[in-house]
Order: sequence, then C-alpha cells, then structure tokens
Amino acid sequence: MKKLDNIPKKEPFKAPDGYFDSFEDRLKTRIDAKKETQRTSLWQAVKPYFYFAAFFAAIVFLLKIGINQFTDKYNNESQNANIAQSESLYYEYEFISDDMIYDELTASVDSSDNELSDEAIAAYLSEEEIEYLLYE
Amino acid sequence: MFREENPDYAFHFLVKQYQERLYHVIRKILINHDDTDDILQESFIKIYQNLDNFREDSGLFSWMYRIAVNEALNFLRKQKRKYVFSAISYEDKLSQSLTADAYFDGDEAQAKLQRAILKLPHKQRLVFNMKYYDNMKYDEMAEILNTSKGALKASYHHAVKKIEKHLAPD
Repeated sequence: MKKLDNIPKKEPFKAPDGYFDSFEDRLKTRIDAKKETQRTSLWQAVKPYFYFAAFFAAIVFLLKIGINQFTDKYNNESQNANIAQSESLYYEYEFISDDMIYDELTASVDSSDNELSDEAIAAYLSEEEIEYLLYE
Repeated sequence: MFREENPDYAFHFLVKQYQERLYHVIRKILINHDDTDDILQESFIKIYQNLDNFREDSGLFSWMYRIAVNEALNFLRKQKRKYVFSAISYEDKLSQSLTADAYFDGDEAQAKLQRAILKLPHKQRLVFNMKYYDNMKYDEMAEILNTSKGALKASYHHAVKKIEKHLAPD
C-alpha cells in the first residue's frame, strides 16, 4: 500500500477560534483604510506635478510682468522722446516772431541788387530799340 | 445579477460563503496563519475591486481561487527573495516552524506529509494541494492555472512520486 494512503486526508491547519466571525469586520476596516490611502496616495502622486505646474505658472507670470514693465518703460521713453522733440520744435517756432520771418524773407533779396542804375536802364532800352521811352 | 443592484451585499455574501475555503487554500501555500490572514484580506480586496470585471463565463469560485493563489504565490516569491543569502531556505524555515505552530492540526504523520509537500516546486505543490486536498477536477484546475490537463496530470504524478519517496522510511 502506498504510504500516502496511510495518512488520513484532512485539513492540516486550523484557524484561531472566532477568526471567521470577525474576519469581515477586519476586512471592511482594511478596505476603508486602503480607500483612504489611495485618496492620499493619489494626492501624493499628483502633488509634485501640481507644485511644478504652480512653480512654472509663477515663473511665466513673473516673466510676463517683467516683460510688460520693460516694454512699458521702453514705450514711455520713446514716447517722451517724441514729445520732447515736438515740444522743442514748438519752442523753436514760438521764438520766431513775424518780424524775424519778414527779415528772413527780405534778407535773402539784396536791395542793392534790385536798384538798377540809370546807365544800365539806358543801355537796356537802347539795345531793345525802345530808347524813346527814356525821354518820355 | 444582484451584485449590480447591491454590490456591498454581494461582497458580504462572497466573504461569508468563501472565506473559509479560501483561507485553507492560502494556508496550505503559506503555512503561517498571520501571513495567511494578511493574504486572505488582500485577496478579498482584489475580489472587491474587480467584482465588476468578473466574467460570468468562468466559475465564480474558480475566479476567486485564482486571485487567492496568485496573491499567495506573489507573497511566497517575495519571502523567498529575502532568504536568497540566508543559510536556510524559506521552505526549510516553514518546515521547522510547522509543529511549533499552535494552529497546526495534525499528528507527526501529517507534519511529515507537509514537510514533503514543502520540498516540492511551487507549481507541483499547488497542483498537489488542489487535487489531493480540494478534490478538484483537472478541468477546473486547468481553468484556474491556465495550464493543459495533460501537464497538470503529469505534475500531480511527479508530486505524488516525490512525496512518497520522502515519506518512505530510510
């Protein structure tokens, strides 16, 4: 006869008394704890990415503020330069009086050049054969 | 099915109905009661989490059995890794603690049989327990272990041979 057949076939192990009565309650406690851990671990898993995204957003925000301030300053400076230039032109124009304009215009024409001598007129008229006008 | 209408009640039913059978399946793999308690709870948590995914084309107990066996074998593998550099193997440690276990319910012959079973490779141990203790049919075993019936028969045959060799007086 085989040796294995000589050994009575029965469950070789037993559970402690009352083990199965309380098993479901302990199982429920563990399931609840696991759910809580999963909620926590989900946050733990997401947390680094969340912080990284927040950090990145803060960097972008600060850069945007910096760029805006720089461009505003640059725009103001160029705008101020334009205003200053136009203002200086205005002041320049303001100091030019009407007399100065008249003087400027009349100064360009030398009056001595405009006064023709009698000899020159006589010569011109004789050339044009209209010297009779000279005696009129 | 009622699990869709009241999943908590369905789970409560499963626990009450199968906790004892699954306990003994796991206990025969892990030997130690505390480890068995831990893995039984983990198995039921897996069952709870995957109840919606259970396909009714396979037997409910087969499905639960497979989850329990997978959990137990994963635990066993982890424990074995801890003993890689140890002077004794994890199975030897279990073998030594067998008769000192307050919840070992057998005589010296039973203890000797358990020590012989512990010397088997995991797969053969599992096949032997399923066939010898749980009186499972090869079809059901094939479904749970995803192995052919022929391979299971051969595995059981080898396991019995090794055990009888171990049980034979010197």
